[in-house]
Amino acid sequence: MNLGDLLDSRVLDDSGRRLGFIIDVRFLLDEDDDPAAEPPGETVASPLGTARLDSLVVSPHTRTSFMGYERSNVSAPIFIARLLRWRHRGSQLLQWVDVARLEPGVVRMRRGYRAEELTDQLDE
Amino acid sequence: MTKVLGLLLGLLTAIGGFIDIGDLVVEAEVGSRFGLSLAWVVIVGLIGVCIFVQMSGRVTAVSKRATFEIIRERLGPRIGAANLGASFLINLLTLSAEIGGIALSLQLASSVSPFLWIPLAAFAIWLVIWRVKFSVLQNVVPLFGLALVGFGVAVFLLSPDWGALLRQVAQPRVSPDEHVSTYWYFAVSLFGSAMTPYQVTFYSSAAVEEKWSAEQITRSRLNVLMGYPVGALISISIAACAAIVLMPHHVNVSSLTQTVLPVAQVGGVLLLAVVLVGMVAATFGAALESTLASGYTIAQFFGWSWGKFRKPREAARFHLTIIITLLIGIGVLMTGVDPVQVTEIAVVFSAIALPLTYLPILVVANDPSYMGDRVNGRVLNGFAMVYLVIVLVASVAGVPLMIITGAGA
Amino acid sequence: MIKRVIDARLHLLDRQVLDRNGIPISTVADLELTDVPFEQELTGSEPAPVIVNLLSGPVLATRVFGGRPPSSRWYRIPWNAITEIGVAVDLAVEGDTLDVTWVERWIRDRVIGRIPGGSGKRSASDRPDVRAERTEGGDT
Repeated sequence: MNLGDLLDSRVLDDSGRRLGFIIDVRFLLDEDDDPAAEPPGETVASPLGTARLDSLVVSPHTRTSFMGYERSNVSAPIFIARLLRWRHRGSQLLQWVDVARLEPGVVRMRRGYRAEELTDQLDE
Repeated sequence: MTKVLGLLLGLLTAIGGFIDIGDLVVEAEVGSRFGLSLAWVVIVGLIGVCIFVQMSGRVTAVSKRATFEIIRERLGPRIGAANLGASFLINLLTLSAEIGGIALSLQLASSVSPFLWIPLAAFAIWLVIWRVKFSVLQNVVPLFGLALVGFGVAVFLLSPDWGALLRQVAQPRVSPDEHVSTYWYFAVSLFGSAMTPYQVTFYSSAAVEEKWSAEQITRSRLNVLMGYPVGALISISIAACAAIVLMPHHVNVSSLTQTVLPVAQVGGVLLLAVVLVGMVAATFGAALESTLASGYTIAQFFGWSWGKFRKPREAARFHLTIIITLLIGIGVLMTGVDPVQVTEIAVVFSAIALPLTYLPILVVANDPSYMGDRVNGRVLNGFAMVYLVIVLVASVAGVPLMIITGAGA
Repeated sequence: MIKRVIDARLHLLDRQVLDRNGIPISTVADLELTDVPFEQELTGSEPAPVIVNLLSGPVLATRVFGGRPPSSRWYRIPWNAITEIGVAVDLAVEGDTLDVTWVERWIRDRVIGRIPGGSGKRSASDRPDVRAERTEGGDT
């Protein structure tokens, strides 16, 4: 699978309601302290550790991830930051383990999926 | 002592580097049709290019990432590729116009057909890029561009009615035989000729070529802030010459011969010779910069190895791009298009495509993951935002104005 | 322990890749992940996909225009060759050892390296008289 197969996909909940588009995919770096979690066949350790898919960044309004303003604390120049945050209002982080099914261009979540508001974390 | 010399050299370079074929053509045309009533645009463009060039240089010097790497990374492949296409096309037009400018200037000096000069000039550009050290290329050629001060001298020799000239500057009015939309079309053109994309690409890539440190950013900022205004003054004096001599006779400048006519009339062969040296140097310098800029944009976008600080074989695709670009440029000119018209188109498209380059640089200049604690300050951001609006307005207005006015005809 | 977060598009895609000597190699056009079955119900207990390779080359065209190049046309840079992800992606290997640089190497050896002065060595063939005659051919 390529990352491009996921990016820009539509995300639906279990009832088929559209939650938005995948604008980014979040990976967490494991420090390789748990060899049992290693996928088979991967023998050479990476200096960075294993990058494991953790969650999907989903924006309800737009397919375009624009310059990361929606996920960083950069707030200058103020008008650009506000505009882009507004474009991405309601962006959510959906857990990968809650994905029920992958289809080309579509990702379906299972019932009771967990969602974390992204933009709220930034406004403090 | 060497420090002072270095400073002086940088300053003179900035003066010479400000002017290119766009100024020679558009300023004279504007001067002959609107007098100095568009001089304010030169000032607006001057401040804009100072902010933009300086910001892009700082971003590159601090983050070590060049402008088009950042454009690709921030805009993504689609919009990034659109920007690359537009920028490359404008570079190509500018480069063709500059080579044409060299050929026409040499024709004025020698009466030898420009079609003989075009391949020679292109070959000379390639040879300089292939062999000559970056610092020499960047400093020596624009230095001769200083000879364009001859236009300023000519203004004084013409001993014009200074009060009338100042009134044109201070109270801009559209002359009755010109349409308002034409006035604004040329305003966009002048703005585009001041804020040409290749200058930004070139300047920010120079930060990598010359491995700028923090102190050098300060020095380069000083050069730009002091040198460009003098360049702008020369630029305005080109318009003034045309306004004083040509406008009263309703001569609309459409060739470089007419641009230098006032100089020849008042300063004789000597001053004309000086100005021609300046024109050849300025257009040659700008041709070098825009040729390099085409290589820079493409190589940076695709992540290839680039730069004159590497041996050519260590930046093979970069050098091949430059050779191909020059060949296309020769091809364009050999069709017999008028370089003056190519210039006019190039400056308008510069203004139209500007936001796509300006915005990512502004955004990254505020991103601490690139800039550390050297992000833009509040004041600079204030100015930069005002210019974002101006840049957007000029960009949006460019195409409709071009259609309404029939490209200023 | 807080794990380091990599947002793929924000931190990886379209970033410049540098080899161990800091020489630009390519940009990250896409990422290859371990497979997850498509068109199948997932239970959530399958191992989560991990990044295996950085992809570059013709993959870029498909990100611009859509579609998907055959897998054999991708140039892969293995994940474990990466030493750091910052404003650029740093590799532990030399660029010349990677497939992705073959065009660069080809143009270097067949075109640019053959034009006098291209390798930067000031040898006998660099004497102005010889050079002038050869560069004429080199320009075309």
